[in-house]
Amino acid sequence: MSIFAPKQFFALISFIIMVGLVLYKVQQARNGKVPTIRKIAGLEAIEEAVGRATEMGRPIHYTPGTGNLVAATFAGLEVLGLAARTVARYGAQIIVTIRRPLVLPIADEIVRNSYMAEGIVESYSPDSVRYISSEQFAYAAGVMGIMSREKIAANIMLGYFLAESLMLSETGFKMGAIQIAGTDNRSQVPFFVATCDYVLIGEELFAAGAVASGNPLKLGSIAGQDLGKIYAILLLVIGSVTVNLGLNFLVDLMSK
Amino acid sequence: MGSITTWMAAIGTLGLLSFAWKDNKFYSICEHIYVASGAAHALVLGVKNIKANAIIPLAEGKLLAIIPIVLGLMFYARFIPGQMRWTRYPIAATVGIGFGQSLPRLASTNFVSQIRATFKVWSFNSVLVIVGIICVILFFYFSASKRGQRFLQYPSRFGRIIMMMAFGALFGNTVMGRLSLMIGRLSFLFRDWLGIVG
Repeated sequence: MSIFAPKQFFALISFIIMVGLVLYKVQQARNGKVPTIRKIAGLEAIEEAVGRATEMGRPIHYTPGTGNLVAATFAGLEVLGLAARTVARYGAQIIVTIRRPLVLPIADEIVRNSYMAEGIVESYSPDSVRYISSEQFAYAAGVMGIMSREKIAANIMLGYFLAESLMLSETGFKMGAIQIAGTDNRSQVPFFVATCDYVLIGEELFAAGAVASGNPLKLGSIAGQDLGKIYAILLLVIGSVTVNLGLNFLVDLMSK
Repeated sequence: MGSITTWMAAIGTLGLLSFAWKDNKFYSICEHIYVASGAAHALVLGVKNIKANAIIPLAEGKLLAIIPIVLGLMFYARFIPGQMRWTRYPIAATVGIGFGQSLPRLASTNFVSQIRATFKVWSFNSVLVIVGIICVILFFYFSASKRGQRFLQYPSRFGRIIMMMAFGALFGNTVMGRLSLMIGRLSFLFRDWLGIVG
């Protein structure tokens, strides 16, 4: 009996190669060679959004998505730290709405720590982070009501979203709020593109999370994943050329 | 005209749809009832889960059930001042298990299978697909040097155009799906509730 699952061998090799590339770049970052990540417009717009909300004297709504503890939620939570620090610095008000109970303590701690980092922990209100409902559309209905009643000036939605994406972003649009959104769920990106001012598409969300955290190791991880993309492009080009030359060794290898 | 549950569903539907006009008291009442029902539903499910996965196994002498019970209880440490750090352990366990479960699927389905599917005999379409994929991948290349960014400028712009075309198709597809949901709701209102249409 083989110790490998059938037809998973090449996936395992690719996985090892990509993990190796990420570890290499993380190690480089640890040694002080921190990679530069290109500007992400949506991330840069957070300060503009908070500034506008402060001038208008209205709150900022933030949601780290409706997914459980998945990668997109963590990226959204990283950016929440940056947004909450900016809010604390400007003396604005933030409302964070949560769908998943597991995400609540993390978001709460992040916002509290952000106020602490700015030296104004006494300004932190426990009401800032609100659990709404685990039920998808009850959450959406609750958030739409909050956005409307609190008259939000900025709406930041970064994380994993499902069908509620358009309901939330349409409400933000109706309120005239400056909207920044991002998700790795490609079926929801079109709705954000249609209704929001800034959109982080797919992996831009993870890069934004790494940049917002300011953690050199996470930036190294993003650079390592970039090398993984070069590996994917090489496979794609070599595979296409060899198949058209009548050589199927790469197809056979990838089928193992 | 239907039963009391049909009336409740119809009033709830109208209340939530009224938000399309503007935020109003009717919507607000329906919203609060919906959120409260969601909370009640989650509570009942939670109790059932605890009973099925913790209490019954423990009563049957399966002591391993203590581990998830302890991890679950650790979540409540956030209500004890100064003890919030204990909530990190169940979170770490949840993330670790989720990541471990998804890993094999990610490498084979999202990477190897996708690349292998693009190995086609060259034609205009297949070459366009390959060039499009490469340009989209390059759009997501974040750590290029300044010189590299200048080089990537045009491929990534083309990649963005390709993505917008795909998003347009996805948008249309999803709108069709949403319209069928809307038709379902209207058909409920006119057929099941009012009985106007057969």
